[in-house]
Amino acid sequence: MIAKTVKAPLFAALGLLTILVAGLVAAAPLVAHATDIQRITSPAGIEVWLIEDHSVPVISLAFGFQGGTATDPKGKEGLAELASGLFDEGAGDIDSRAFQQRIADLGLDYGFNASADSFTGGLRTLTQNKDEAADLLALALTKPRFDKEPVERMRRQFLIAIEGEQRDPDSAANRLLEKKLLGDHPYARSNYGTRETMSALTVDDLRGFVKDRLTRDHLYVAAAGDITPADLGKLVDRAFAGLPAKGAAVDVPEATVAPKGSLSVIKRDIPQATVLFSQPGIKRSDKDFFAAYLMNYVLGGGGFSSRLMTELREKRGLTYGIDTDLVTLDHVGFFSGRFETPNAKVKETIALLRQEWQRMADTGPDAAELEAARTYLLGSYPRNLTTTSKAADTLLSIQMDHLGIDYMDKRQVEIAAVTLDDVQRVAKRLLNADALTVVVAGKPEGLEGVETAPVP
Amino acid sequence: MPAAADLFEAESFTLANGLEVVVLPRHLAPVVYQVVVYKVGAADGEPGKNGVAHFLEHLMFKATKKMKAGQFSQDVDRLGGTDNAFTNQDMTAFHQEIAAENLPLVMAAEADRMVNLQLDDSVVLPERDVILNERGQTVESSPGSRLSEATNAAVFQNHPYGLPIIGWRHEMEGYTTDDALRFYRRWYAPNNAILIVAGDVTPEQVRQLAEKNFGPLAARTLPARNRLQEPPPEAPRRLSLASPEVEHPSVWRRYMTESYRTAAANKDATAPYALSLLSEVMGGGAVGRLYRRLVIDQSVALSAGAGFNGDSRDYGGFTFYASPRDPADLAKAEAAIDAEIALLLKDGITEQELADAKNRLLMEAAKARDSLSGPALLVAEALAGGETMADIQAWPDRIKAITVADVMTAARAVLTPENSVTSTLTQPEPEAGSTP
Repeated sequence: MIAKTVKAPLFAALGLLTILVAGLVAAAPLVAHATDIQRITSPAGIEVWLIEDHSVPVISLAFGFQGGTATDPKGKEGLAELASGLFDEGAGDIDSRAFQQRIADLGLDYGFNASADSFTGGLRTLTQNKDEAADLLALALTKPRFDKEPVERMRRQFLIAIEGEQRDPDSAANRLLEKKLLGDHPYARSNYGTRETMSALTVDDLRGFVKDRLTRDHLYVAAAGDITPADLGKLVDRAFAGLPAKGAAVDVPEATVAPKGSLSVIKRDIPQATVLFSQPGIKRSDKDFFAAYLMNYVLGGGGFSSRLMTELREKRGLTYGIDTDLVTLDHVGFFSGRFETPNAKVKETIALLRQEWQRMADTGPDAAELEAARTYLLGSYPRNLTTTSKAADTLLSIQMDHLGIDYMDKRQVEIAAVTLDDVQRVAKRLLNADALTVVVAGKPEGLEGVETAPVP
Repeated sequence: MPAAADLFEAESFTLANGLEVVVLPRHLAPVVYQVVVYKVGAADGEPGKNGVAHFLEHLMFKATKKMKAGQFSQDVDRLGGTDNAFTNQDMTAFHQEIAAENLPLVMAAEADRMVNLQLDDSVVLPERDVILNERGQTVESSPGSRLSEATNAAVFQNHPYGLPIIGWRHEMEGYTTDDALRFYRRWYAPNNAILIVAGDVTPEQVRQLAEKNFGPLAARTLPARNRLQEPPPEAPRRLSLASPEVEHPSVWRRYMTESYRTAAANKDATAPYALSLLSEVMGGGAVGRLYRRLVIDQSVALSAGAGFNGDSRDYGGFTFYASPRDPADLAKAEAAIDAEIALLLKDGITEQELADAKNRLLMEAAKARDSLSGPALLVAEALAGGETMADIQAWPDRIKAITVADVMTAARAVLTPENSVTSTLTQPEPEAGSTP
């Protein structure tokens, strides 16, 4: 077992804004506090990152497998989601009822999540129950039962969710937006699949999922809390060493995003229209990622202080809220956003959105806006580490995005290094109002240039 | 079971002017969570003006002698923190989460607005429109919220807990600047407040900052709390609300109970702890009786459970709920709840069920320390509800001491028909001849 420690100083009085790891402003550091992230290799060779803290007798494990809903086989869309509901419903000789009882008796917080690129899970346990918790997890991942009653119960729940998505204006708009942007790419669909595909999933399909996806070659593990490196190595082996070594390749193609914008309407009889918009963006690994992130914060990521909030809400009362996001997936990136507005105001608000979008593209943020964004990004990061489960999840996402164990340090340096020229250049490079794909769900008045939308 | 000893490693002290201070150190992240709790809520409002506590919560974000309107929130946001506030029947709380080195800033701002708030019509009247809008969005356009409001009014026939925290619309429309100022001057004082700081701090750091910021503020003479009490219930009550916007029908059955504070005062101190355990037996997640029987075994419900809340000052509540599997057959789910209550009262609970419930509650308490806001808000609710830090520290031992007999005595005392209020939320019946 090998333990390597990387100290990530969160406070550093190095002049103006140099070290900016997880969001602590260098302004007036009263306390020097380092977050140690240890890299451990377990006896069986599994790598795990650890933030060790013995103040509360609790341990959180966060683990993930590369490959998520986008790898659902054709015709079996919804498989990863259905699986995500079934790893606490019986394994080995322990049936669903008894398994739920074990989880309750051990006081475990335990659950799974399927997203586009990954299948992740979390386990939080009192220190005293850690070995039994790891045994239960190992059993669930290697010998899940998929008994009829829990499978049908979960399927029912997901079918209800699918129905809800079809009714919900936001979800309907999102489906169309994805189709317009990505065509037939596996990213362009509901995580739950369709009523047809979810209804058709079999236990064999679920076993196929386990065989293809829950394997050591796809696995990442992180931990935080009341455990030493030596004990964590043993615990990780207890939980994961029994997984098969290799699974199926994660074979998701690169996505090409429609370069030209469009405007579509899904007619819904609602007083407030929902408007979603998106254009091509960048990936997480792009060298301009932080410049783009800061620029997005100024444009619409920054709550009440953003340009779009100021122009659309503060000055004109056109919407209760508008926000934008830098969306980065493994095989594509977008600038996306959303707002709601009364049907009579949709035309005016979209026009204003385009105007502000292009203004940002042409001239970028100003110096004061950039500094405010920078201060926020630095100051907010430590809030990712306030519980052992948040800390473990944060480490896991750093691993799965391949950002490096010194990310918390690097992040500060990179954010500090972004110049006004950088953000202005990146705004020009990336933003283009003509590339905006816009979808409206509602009864907007007077819109021109609308493409005929398929019946939702 | 985990050790009871020192549940939150809290350190508490009181300043000379009466401000209670509680420090909950946790050094996992260089972050602090600060809460300032005023021990006054909607239920302390003047007749016809019970929503003023919540109105004042909004107005506390306006200008003070030292800061512009909204400046505090802007400063917190700029530095990467979050801030918010909430009002309930017994307390008004203002909280922030922010990088630890900014504790001086957020503490100074709370001390400032405790005494220096500047209100006039130009500031107050537009905010009155905002709270009317909020009522429109959160209550009037939500069938569940409308039913909840009506239910509270039926549960409490005399006590102000029966009034909505935000206020009735027709009364809100008439709130004045003077109403807000009167409430502020009457109730907002260091000796009616609690300062709670959780996170990457030492008790000594907090003491120094508290003395510096709050120490100079003068205590006020506080009015007596004069709330009307409830008469004994005479008859079961039933409410139904049907709306096309209801996606998932549900049924709720509510019983009034004592609170932790009133039970202790009535020398009936074990009752709320017993009911807490009962709610875990009946409604403890996926292993509680209701979920097991209604959702899994009988398959009549999509979700089902129970809950108990004893943290308010004057009364608590025990609730059963279910959402039917067949949206058109809510009655079946309700009948299943009735059957479980009857079975409980007839056959009681087993020693094993009680032992399991104790184990689960104690484990939850041990895990609860793995958070900044969790313990801070738990302390806030308990102290505002009239309990003490000693009560919080004694909770694990009191839970452990409860017997099956305690649970059944408490259950039989509250689970009576006349003490029940049943509320159903449904989709409307389809009219004959309407299009499906």
